[in-house]
Amino acid sequence: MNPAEKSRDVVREGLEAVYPRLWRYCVVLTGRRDRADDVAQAACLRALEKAVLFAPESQLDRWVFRIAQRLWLNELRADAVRRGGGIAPIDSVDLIDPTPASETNIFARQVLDSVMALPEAQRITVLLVFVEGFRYREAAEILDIPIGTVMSRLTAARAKLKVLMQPAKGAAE
Amino acid sequence: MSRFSDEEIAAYLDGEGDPSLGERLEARAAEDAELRGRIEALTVDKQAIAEAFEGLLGASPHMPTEALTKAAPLSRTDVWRTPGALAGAAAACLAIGLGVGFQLASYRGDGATRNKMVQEAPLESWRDYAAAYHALYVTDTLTHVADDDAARVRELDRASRAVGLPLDGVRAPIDELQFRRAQLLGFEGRALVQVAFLSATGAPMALCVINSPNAGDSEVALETRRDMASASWSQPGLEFLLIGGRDAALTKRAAETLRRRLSAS
Repeated sequence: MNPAEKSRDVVREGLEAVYPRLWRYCVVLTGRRDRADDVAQAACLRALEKAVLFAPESQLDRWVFRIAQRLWLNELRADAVRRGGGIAPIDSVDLIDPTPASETNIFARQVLDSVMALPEAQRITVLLVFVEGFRYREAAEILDIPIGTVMSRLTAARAKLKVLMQPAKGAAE
Repeated sequence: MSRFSDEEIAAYLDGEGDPSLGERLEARAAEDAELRGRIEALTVDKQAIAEAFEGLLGASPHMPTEALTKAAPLSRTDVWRTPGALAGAAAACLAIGLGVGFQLASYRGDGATRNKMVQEAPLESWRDYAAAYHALYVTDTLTHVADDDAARVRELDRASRAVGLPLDGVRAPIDELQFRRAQLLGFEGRALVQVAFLSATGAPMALCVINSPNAGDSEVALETRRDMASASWSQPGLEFLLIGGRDAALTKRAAETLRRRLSAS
């Protein structure tokens, strides 16, 4: 198998497993589940088109996240603003399926709302580092920004989350 | 004794940074209540965040595998550069209901912009954001601005104070550009002023000025951003961007005039 074929196979076979995380990434990026559907699908399509450029020994999730990030910022974000509705994120009620309103779920929703209330640049960095567990250097590569910007975004996000998550914490205790 | 920055504290909490950072910070915190307070102010429940987002995975729709793999062969790496295939790719995208479909369609008629889809830089710098914002302007945005000169002067004064640069020089005609209004915006905590003009042909144009502590002197440099002519330059502490329309010669002349007027004022 030549290297191009191998790359194509790795991408085709790997995308489905990455998809739920890619979709979640797009929810945080775009703030809305309908837009997340569009961006996640567009990112997969772009990944399949460009599969020969993927280095099979590298990480597929980072590569696809980066594609989604670029698609959103370069092509789809301005359209979302133009079509109205702005880019402010919606409530978690519309993000997760209705579930029994147990205390655990209420708390989880409040935490989601707190993160989604952050500016777009901060919340996507929070997702990559706090949720996905990427190192600062890896998050910087995905977002195509200097590592110093990752640090300043997370510092600002931490200060805001500290305040935003207080009521959530109180309610859970 | 040097002070730890908030970024260093956050890096420590994330297990990042120099291994000695944690040791130094912990040693100092043991005897410094103020530092302990700052650490506490940046400590968040990362576990709770990770768990809340874990629940979101279950809400993900299934990947539309069949539609995607059918669509992909229509559009290989070089598809965007092939006029015939481009229409096919657009059709494929629309067929599977992607929001990008309209984008492809809008690129079809104009050979000069076709490659932009894969070449445009990410929206990261303040200039990218200013350009994307200005791309939404149409002539009517500025023709219908109230003709209240006193209000416009007040707003211009407010903007001047925000960036620490007298901007009166924009009110006199500048190479066919007519001053319409000034707005105070912001980017990552820095003051950003947008002064809007209309050209003689009705093209909306904007001068953007941002505080930039590390900026030095630089000449006017022409670029194209989002299909608009733009010119950038800087002076100590400030960066400038003039953007709008497609007349690069007008943009250059106006940028040179603005650079002269605003640096002399």
